Amino acid sequence: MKFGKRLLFFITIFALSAASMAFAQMRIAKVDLGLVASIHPQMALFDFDRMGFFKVAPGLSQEQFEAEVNKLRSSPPTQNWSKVSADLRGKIEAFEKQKAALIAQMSGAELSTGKRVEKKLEEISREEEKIRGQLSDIEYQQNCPDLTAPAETRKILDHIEKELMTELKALADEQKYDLVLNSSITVPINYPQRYKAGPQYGLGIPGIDFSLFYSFLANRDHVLVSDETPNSRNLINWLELIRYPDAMNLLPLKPYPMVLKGGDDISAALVERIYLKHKIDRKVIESVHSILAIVKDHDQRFDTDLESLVAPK
Amino acid sequence: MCKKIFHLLTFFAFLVSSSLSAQSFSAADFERLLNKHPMMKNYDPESGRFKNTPSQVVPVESVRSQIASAQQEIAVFGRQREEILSRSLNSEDADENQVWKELTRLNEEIFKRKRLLLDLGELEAANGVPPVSRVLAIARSMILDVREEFSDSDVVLNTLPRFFAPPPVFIRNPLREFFFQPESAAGLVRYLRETHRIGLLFPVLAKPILVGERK
Amino acid sequence: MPLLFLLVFAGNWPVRACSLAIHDWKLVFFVKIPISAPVFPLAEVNFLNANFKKPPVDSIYWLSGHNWVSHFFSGFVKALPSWPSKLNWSLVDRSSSVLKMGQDFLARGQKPLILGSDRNFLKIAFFSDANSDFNCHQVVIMQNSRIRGVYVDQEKPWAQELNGMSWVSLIFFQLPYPARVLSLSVFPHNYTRISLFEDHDYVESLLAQKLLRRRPDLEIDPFVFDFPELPD
Repeated sequence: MKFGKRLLFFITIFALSAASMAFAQMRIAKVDLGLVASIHPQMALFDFDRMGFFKVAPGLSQEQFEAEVNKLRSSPPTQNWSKVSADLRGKIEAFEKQKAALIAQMSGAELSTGKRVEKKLEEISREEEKIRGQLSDIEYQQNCPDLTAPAETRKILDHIEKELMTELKALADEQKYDLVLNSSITVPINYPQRYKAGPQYGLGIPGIDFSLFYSFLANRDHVLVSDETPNSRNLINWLELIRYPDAMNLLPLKPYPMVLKGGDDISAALVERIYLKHKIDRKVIESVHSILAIVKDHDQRFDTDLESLVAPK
Repeated sequence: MCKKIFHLLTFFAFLVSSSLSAQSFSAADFERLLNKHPMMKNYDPESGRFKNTPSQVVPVESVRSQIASAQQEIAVFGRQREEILSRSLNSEDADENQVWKELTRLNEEIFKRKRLLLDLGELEAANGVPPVSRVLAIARSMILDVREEFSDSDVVLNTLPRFFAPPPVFIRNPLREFFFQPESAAGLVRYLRETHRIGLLFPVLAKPILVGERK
Repeated sequence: MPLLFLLVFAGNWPVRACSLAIHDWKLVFFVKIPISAPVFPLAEVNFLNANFKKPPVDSIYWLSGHNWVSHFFSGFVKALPSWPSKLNWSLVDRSSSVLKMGQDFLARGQKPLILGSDRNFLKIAFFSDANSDFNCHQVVIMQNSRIRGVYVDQEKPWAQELNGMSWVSLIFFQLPYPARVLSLSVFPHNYTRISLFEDHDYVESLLAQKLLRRRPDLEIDPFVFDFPELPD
């Protein structure tokens, strides 16, 4: 009887442990944060040419949007930009004069004086850099009255980032994910231009000796038949050459994300959460979902020609 | 005895379940950690070498002066060697062990300087610029030092690479056009092809672990 | 036996040292035998070659505890491709020291090149390669001696002492007969080791069958021996 009780106790412990083993297994998700950030509703107001957000409310129709933008472009400036920029230019001129005087001091000066002057020059250069930055911002605001100033643009981008991370953490908590990995591609994809016909056709990279790989595959030396170097050396030399970035760009490969397999993709769920928060129409959300699904399918089949599938018939 | 076995089995049952949740993930900015390595204080960005190390660029005049100095020392040691040997060959009561001991010492000094001359000769031929392998040796040891700091139990991921890229060129923002006309997908697809460039606007994209990183 | 291979290939001196496989040699057997004289003066020839372009002598006096073995194999010195091997080698029993002999020659107005080899040992080691499940083996026969050389010239005398080392190594797969030999190497030749024989095709076939492990770098450093340091 005593043995029976102990056995029952052990079986209970084992069952609980087994259950906890199932719970203890990590739930891992992945998000293409670059994609989600790019299609954040506020990014629809971003002008990629002039790098600022339109100072217009979201959710307008095309006609309303254009009307607002035109109004902004034609309205009088809110500040006397000319005076402000003249002041800043004056400061820059003063800095230039100071630097010229200091440089004159340096010629023929002793080492200690020279070092002191050099330090002063560095300080002035830093101040000048700041003022030039301010001037550049002023000129930007003068030329682009319909867009947010650079400081404001950075704030908005920062806000978008914070919102994404907050919503992602909330989503991960709700769906009980222990780990969410970033499956963004953070490098520019560079499909080889040289494959196209035209003036650039036939321009490659000198120095990549095809005979190395050719010889390796043919298992014979095409350069020096009498060469006793082992054939596998050709492959090693070929691999060393082809690893250079310029050569890699010629290969028909696009960069792949950190997460190659596994993990639950919650990018679409995160997009939906953000869009609902910004009161985007359900129809738009569904449309985005279906397009993201097509994109994902293409990615998984390594198909790069996306547009032909969604082009109007 | 049964009691002891029972306790042991219970212990193992808990151990197995707890070990499965012990794996933790963390991220590190490997490039930043390398930049914080003490050796980086010696790094000279102009020459791409580390000062006060064998990788340092040496002015050619200094190399030539070292060569001349080594050659002079070889000549001096060579003369001393000849004198000792000449004396011992002409003297019947020379202490042979002492002679060989002294000759060996002088030969070692000459050998060291000949090796130095080889290195200096290569350095002179390269205008005072030591081979890249010297820099790589220092870089290798820095990398090993940084990696030693990582805990053995963690999976440590590096921050994702980010390179400068110009923004995509759109005549009109295709995402905005899509919001105006959601039924037309072509614009959104065109926009999605550029998300890797657009994403570069957001520094958080360098993080490999977005949620659940062990700090 | 290995020296006979040496003779067979003496006319052809390959200079490359290249190995396709990486081995994890474990010492299985080792013996150190004191010998009165080196079996073959390979280290001595290398020693002279390294120190002289060619002194104006036509003979070398080699002092050691010579026996019939050293007398026999020294006859093949002329097969070596360097200037010391072309001179007349006179084997002299170790009755006096190198310096004393030098003094005697100087008194007679002669200027020979004198070599002395003492503290001679023969080391024989047998290794097995863990990377090949101990199917690949290596036999190393090494000679160690203290070499002293003197050139007796009144104006510019020369003398040097060195711990001489030479070895021959045979690597084979399972059995040491010609079809199973992977390589035969000797040291030294111009400070480095060289392969007298390498069967690349056989090695590639063993690598393809995963009976050997492939070396990641094809070129190996000829200044590094392909076996662990032997015990003292």
